[in-house]
Amino acid sequence: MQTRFSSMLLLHMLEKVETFRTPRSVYHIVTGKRSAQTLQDARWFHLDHWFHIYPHWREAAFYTEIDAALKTGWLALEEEGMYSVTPAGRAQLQMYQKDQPFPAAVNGWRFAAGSRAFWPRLHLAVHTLSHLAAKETSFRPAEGSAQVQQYIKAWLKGQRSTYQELAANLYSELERMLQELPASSAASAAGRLSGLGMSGRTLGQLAVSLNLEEERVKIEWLNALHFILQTLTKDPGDYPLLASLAADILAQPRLTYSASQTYRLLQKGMNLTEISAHRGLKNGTVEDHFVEIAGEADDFPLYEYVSPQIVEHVRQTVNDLETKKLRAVKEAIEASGQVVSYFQLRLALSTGEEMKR
Amino acid sequence: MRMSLEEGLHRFFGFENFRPGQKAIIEDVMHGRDCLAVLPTGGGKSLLYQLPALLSDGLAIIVSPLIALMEDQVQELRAFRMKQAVCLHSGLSQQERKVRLHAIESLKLLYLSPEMLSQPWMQRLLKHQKLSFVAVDEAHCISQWGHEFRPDYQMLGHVLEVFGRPPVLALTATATPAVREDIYTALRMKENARIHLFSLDRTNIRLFGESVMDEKEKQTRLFTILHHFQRPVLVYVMSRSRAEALAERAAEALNLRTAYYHGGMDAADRQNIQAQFLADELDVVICTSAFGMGINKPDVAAVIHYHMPSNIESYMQEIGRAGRSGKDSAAVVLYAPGDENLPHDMMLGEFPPPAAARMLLEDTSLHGALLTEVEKQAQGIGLSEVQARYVVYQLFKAGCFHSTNEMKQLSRPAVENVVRELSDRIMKRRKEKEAQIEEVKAYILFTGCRRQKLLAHFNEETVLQDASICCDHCLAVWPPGSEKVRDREDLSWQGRLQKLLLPDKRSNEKGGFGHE
Repeated sequence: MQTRFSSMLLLHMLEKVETFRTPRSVYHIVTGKRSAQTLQDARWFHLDHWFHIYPHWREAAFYTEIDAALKTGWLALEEEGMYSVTPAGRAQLQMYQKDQPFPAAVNGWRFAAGSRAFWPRLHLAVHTLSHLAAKETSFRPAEGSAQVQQYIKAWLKGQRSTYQELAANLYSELERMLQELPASSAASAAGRLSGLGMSGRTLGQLAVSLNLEEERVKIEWLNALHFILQTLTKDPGDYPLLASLAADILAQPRLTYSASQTYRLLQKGMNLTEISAHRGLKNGTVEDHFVEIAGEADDFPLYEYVSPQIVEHVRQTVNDLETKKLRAVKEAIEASGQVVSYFQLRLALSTGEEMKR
Repeated sequence: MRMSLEEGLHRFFGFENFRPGQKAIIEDVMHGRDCLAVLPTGGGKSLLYQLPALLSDGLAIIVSPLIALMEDQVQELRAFRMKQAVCLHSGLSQQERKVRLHAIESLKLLYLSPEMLSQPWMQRLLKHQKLSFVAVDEAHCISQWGHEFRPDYQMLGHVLEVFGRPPVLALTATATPAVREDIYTALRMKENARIHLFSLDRTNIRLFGESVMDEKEKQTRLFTILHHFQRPVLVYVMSRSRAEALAERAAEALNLRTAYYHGGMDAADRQNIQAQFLADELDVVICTSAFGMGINKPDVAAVIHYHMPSNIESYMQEIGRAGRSGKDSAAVVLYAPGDENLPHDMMLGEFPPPAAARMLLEDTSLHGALLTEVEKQAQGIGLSEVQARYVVYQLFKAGCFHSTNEMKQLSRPAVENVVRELSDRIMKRRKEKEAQIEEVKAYILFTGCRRQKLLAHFNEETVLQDASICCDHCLAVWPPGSEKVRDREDLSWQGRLQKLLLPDKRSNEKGGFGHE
């Protein structure tokens, strides 16, 4: 890949994981590996917004990029396969960020999969209404998937307004929504839409007119989609049409398969030991699931497993010590006379960080 | 009572009359006869199976190697409310396949890629359907003599037997007599099969060839042509990077809407370029051979080859995209000394080193492995996709697989024998391909009538009487034409959204925004 954006993102991520993790863990985050370890790393190091944004990145290509950064002197090799960002690397990153700050709304953790499902619907809805509002009834759907076509057909059937009204409403919702975004994101999203008398523009064409690299156009587009989904989670009532296109996508918390099984039992009112026994799993495995669920679902009964005082204490300690090493945190808390397990520590750190970034 | 052919033509496609020759083929298909039809690109090929499929009882299978083309045709049919058409290929998810096959009983046309048709589950499914006929598009892919040989096509003859051998319609735009013979045998066509041959002579395309000193002069010449003559124009080049670089320079140098297109672009981008081209939003597309198949744009004014193609068949097919509406158009090939090295190097890259066969055959973990696994492993040892497909197919032909498609364990001498034979075969094939490249070069440097020379390759003669519209050596001049000039469109994002969703804004605008 080797784009300016991807190499800067890599520096940014390696800076965050410091020397606690190897680049491999960063690779797992950007490709969206759904293992307990990666999910936890992503949250832990506040890298969850970049989770799953490069699902197709090959490992070899990823390491080529690491090598290149090493050669340029942006990265330095530390012990045990760890890397650190050099002062030169930091300077590069700052310069880039000053010029083109990383898009703020990208949130792969919550929306990577959702936006992949949402975009074809949005595109086809706009494309279809663009034709129908102009009374053009024979046209080729812009998205070829039969699933999406069936979805939009049903969606249209469920609407009560005329096509012109629908198109006008969709326009006003999109216009209001994109207004909130930086111009490059709005232009990237609107540019890739198509309809009657207007084809979609390619990444390369948008890159030329926006004076950005292609990769960055893609990220700006993603930024717009994630922003839309984020806004729809918060204020679905302000955007009824867009919200109806995304409703089922936003409904489900995203968990690994096994964790979702555990979640279901948890919702039935079972506790940790009961779940382990019922599923024939080790306690440790179910604990991993709990940590994952706690970070993802709002209804997790956190305080049944760790008291609010301890949660607060743990967060405080992490801030004071400026460390993410579990053992150091545990020792500090125990030195103050409280008892805390690793499981409780991880639970305490898995939640409530959303807004802090 | 069944609808007459003319009624069907009118009702489904909105045409009043058949083009010359179409009706005879369609009648043959309706009568369940095996047919081979050779007709030039733009000759209305798809109608030959679409209409009979819609008028017949049962399901027609259309086999095509071009996924984009199949998707395209299905979308087009569906856009005109013929929903009984569906396309399946390996690029689709399980779920998507299920949705598409949901109502198989009511389908009339099922487009399949050859590998999809060779899937056992697909064969089981189709065995229970009443098949009206099977159309094999791009049938020249079946022949090793053809320029686009596809090993999976070779299995078709066998697969058809599984379904009780329904009638077959084989279609191709380019087929020399040797290729026709191969198609005939490979598809096990019946004794009484008909062959419909159409002239490949596209009389409204004037033929030009130009030699230049070097790359730099060639580029200047290309830009001059693009600047002065009518548009839209397709420019064929050999490499992806060259397509991008040339498009960038052309956009800088000329005030034209220019884009590039190649197989390495992301699928949405490729679709966008096609759509823009069809909607007259582009003047010039600089592309590799990946562009063009299935794109039916009637008004392409010229096809320019910036690099020479690898063989005459490809050349015929690519220039056939000019002038489909019947209007005067042109085909130009530019040549600089040494240009033949490009297709030559590319051709060498298609063949695997023969030793790869040894590595595969002696890999104990592959003994008993399925064909597809062996192919995957071939890529694992560093072969390209094309090379891997080639070597595995050759092993298959050399009898290295059981009838269940599992790889045999061969003795040392047997392995060496296979490797030696493969090596000989590759040498022979290389020589053939080198000869094809030489043939193209000879065409470019030829000083007699270009049309005669091209058609001679297909054992044909031209019917064209008028030398002034034939070729440069017959003293034809470039067809005159009006330039379509449009403003470059660079709307704000708000402007785009308005044009997309507010039809009133659209029609109130000065100049309007016509329906294409």
